[in-house]
Amino acid sequence: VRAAVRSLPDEQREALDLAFWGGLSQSEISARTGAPLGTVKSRVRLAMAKLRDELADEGTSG
Amino acid sequence: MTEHPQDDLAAFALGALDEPERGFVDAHVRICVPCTEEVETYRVALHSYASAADVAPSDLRSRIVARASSGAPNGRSRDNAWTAWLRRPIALVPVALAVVILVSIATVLARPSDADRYASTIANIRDARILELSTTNSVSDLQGSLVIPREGAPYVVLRVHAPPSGRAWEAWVLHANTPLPAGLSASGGVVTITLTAPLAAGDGVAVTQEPSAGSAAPTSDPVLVVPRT
Repeated sequence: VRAAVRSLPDEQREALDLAFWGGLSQSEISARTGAPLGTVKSRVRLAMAKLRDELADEGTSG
Repeated sequence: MTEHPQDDLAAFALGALDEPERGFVDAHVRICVPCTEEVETYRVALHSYASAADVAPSDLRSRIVARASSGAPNGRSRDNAWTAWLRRPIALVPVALAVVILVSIATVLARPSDADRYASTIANIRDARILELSTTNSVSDLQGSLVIPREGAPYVVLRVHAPPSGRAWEAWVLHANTPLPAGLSASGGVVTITLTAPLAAGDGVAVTQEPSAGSAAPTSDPVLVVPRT
């Protein structure tokens, strides 16, 4: 998991961190970072997919 | 059935969806098995993410402390009391004694307020996920955080006033829309309640005021709540 998180692009990890650890919604992340809401949504979606897929790979290979 | 909200499921599991999307996805997931299963895969991933504690952003706690400390109404009353004390007729008191008294009074006045102690308590938590509880009614001078440690039982840290005689603060785990009693405290100030009910991914947590023996189900509206973990 750590490796998956560290492999995320910075902006995706920032969105994930702000939502999960900071409890911010996507619109709040947009306001905080200045990124358009649609961009934030993409970052959250991609980060979560990466995290999930890495875990799935780990499960099937382990 | 309506179209699957495929693009919003990840944010839904993360708890990052804004209204009205969150309500729409929530309603859909309740009746759609494939979407429920997909959300669950994200939640499993998030559990692993939460357990990888060293991936937490390093400035998280400072941001929480800054938010918790903002608006703490301590400075004004402290200044007034201090000024009032200085107006007392101390001229006849030996200087050394006056200094001692001044230092003693200043020490008492500088005792950390509940807001300071709450912020300090949160700031000193390590290896845990921290979710701020929201106030839900006109009682705004309350604060609370849900703490999900890497190891051990989750708990809530509350900054609350002392409940009336015969009453207590009761924590609830909101599981599948059912509140489960999860701990009591009859104290005021900065209060910690370890959750005695299991907290699963997606569950919420709320705090109500109940009879001091606790209730099987809430008898009052929640004063603090986090709808979904």
